Amino acid sequence: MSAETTAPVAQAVPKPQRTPAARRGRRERTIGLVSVSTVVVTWWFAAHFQLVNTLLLPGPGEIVAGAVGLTLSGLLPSYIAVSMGRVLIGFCIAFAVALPLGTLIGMSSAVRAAVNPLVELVRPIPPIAMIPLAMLWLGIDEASKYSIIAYGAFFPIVLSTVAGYAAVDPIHIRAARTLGASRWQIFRYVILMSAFPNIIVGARLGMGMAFIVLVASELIAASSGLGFLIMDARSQFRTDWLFVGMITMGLLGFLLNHGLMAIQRRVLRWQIGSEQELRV
Amino acid sequence: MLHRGNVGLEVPAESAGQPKIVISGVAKVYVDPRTGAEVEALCPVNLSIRAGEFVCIVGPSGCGKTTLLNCIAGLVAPTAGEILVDGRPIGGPGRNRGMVFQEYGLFPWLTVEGNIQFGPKMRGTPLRELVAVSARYAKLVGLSGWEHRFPSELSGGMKQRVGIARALANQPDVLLMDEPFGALDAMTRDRMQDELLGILRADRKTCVFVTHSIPEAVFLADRIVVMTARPGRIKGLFGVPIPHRRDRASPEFAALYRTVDTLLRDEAVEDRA
Repeated sequence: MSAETTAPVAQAVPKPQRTPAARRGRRERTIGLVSVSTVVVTWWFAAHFQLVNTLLLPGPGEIVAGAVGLTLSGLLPSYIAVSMGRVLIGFCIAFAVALPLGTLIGMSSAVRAAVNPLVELVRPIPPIAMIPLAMLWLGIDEASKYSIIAYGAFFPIVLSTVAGYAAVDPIHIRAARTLGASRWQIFRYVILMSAFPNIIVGARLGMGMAFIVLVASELIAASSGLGFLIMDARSQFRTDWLFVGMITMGLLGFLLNHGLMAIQRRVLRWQIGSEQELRV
Repeated sequence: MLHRGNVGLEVPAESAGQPKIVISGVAKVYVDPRTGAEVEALCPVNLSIRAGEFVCIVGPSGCGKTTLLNCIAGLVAPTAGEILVDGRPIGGPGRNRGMVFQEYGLFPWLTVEGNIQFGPKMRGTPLRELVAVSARYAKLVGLSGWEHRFPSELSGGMKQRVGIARALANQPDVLLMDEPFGALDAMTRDRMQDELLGILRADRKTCVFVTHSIPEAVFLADRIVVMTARPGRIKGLFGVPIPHRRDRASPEFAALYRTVDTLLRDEAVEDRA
């Protein structure tokens, strides 16, 4: 009964260290920077010495000048705002429908049996194929764009959510029950938390899809937005504006994805070691 | 403080009052949902456990010892029979019975602190008290300073300390442990057994501990329940008349080990026949 064997020994808390992985990451970032600048410099060189037709491929300088012009005229910022508004509203509609629906499908086998065949029938129709129908039903204003974007973002979110609920470990439910959690508390504090990583992955995939559908819908029927900008630039043969539009889209897509990834890393910091897997 | 168990089935003198847990005629038949075939996991079991008693259930794999524990926990409804805790039949899991799992069952999205606080939080304990609760139980299991770590950052032994702290923080009367040290290496296992006794001494609980390790049972238990292979039934009950801190190398220890081992060995032979 002596104290030294019965009292648990406090264990030392290790301090985080700079890992070889962190060093390798820095090296990889440097190489990436070098590769991007090589491409830009080569491009500038080719355009400057007329090695390519600059009417079709303007140099980086012209594109920057075009971007400055479009920004100063207020056109580019307003188009960015319009396009981002459409993406976010469409995405939020999709999320607001997909999360409860995915939850119902995940929690109830009856709902799953009823909804699954419908999902499997409708899902293979590409969102872009829905654009003409949306125009017929809802006209060419914002409502049709929101709905097509929401349609595109909907399926990745709903499917990931369902997969998340399927991934709940039964032992966590048993543990919560023995700790006195009610049914609602088990859902709120165990099932939802278990499904959360998949829901976030679904949101990222859905956001990517929303962005693709946005541009398609603006290319086909719009009088504003970044998709409209590049179509308009083509008809006016302003290749510099065309590139400004394309690059802006690329940057926005990059920012959206990285924003969501940052949220994912922050809320899922408990998933050490599975981070790679999450970067799908 | 030292408990002297009685060998055999006779009721020990200390349990003059009402027993903490009464298991009467508890049986479990599982039905395979696909084939409809019935599997008898547990033959009717009768067992009475006193308050503050440490009972180890040993038996071969698949002897229904975990089923019996799950029935006491209220996670599994018995096909027949009844379990009384403090004289009242149980109707599902309850806060008076905490459980520790072999696979830990920690919530990976919660820190050590969050895991320990889970039970009290579910019944609406205010935040300020929650912090005190988690600090106290983290200290009890030797994990002070680790409160903000996630389970994925802990070793197996540390995870199970959190599992024990989480169950105890809910202040159950009964601690149910399902092979809690089964996944640990031998050295950690011995140390955890020592520590468990220390923890339970500080915080007197009735404990039902399932294991397939005879030395573990002999080291920990006031009373050992030996179960047969499927369908499980009780084959023998042994009081452990060795005072705690038991010496794993002592002759008494070896003698009791041999008795239980022989009983289980017979079981294995019968099983094959």
